[in-house]
Amino acid sequence: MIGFRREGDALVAEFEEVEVALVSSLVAQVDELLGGGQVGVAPGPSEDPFDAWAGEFGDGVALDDADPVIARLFPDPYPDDPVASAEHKRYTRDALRRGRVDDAQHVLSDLDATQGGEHPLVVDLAHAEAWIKTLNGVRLSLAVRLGIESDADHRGLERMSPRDPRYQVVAIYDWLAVVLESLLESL
Amino acid sequence: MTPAGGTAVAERPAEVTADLTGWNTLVWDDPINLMSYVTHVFVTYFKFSHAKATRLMMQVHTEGRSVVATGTREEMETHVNALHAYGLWATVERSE
Repeated sequence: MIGFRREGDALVAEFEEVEVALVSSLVAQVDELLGGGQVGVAPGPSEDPFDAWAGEFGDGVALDDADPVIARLFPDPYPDDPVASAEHKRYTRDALRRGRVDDAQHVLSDLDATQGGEHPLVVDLAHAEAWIKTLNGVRLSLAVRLGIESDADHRGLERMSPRDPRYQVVAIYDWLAVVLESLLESL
Repeated sequence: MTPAGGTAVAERPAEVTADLTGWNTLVWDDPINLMSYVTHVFVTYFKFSHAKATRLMMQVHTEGRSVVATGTREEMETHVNALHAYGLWATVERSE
């Protein structure tokens, strides 16, 4: 990867083919977990007032609450009050979920436009926040899967043997931090 | 019986004020979100100066949590939603 730089109203970076495939795959995995993955559907909030209404009243995609990644992406606003937390989530979670799915579509579409890293990755400034939130969401999901709950956990993982099956995942997790930092610095 | 009603009357608006603004938005430390990322969210969402955003981020990092906003319960829930959209670990609590 050659890091992001500002060019007019866009942030431009260069990703290798394998990096485009990797980020696309990770974003698609989170997207799928959130009930997205409808390729070709234009991102953005629904213009159909009934859809918007149905979504607002929690008639959206059911998420797997037992999945710790879902728990991390949708934390309890009232940790000591499960009733208040559940009530709050009932009215807000689907909008959050749809926001993440829309953001992921922007990221996947920008990655797709590089044609496997043949062309530079161009992120319109209007999509910068979608990219930032999505890359961070991928890092959150990887951290949950790796069991990173403290700085010590992370340091421990960085000392693991290259033969450990998690070794590659930790390398990807750390590389995504570099990508995200580069994006933030280019703003 | 109090000699004059002045004291009681003066106390009531104070209670009303406390009830309307007696909620905090907290952000908790986690080992995942990058320091630059947390600062970016505070600047972008709350429109804090870079200096204030950095100070609050450092407080989260070193003290484990920081109160980033105070106001009505409804306002705090709006903030928490926005912070959750960014993947920050944010909660609402009654202010002491």
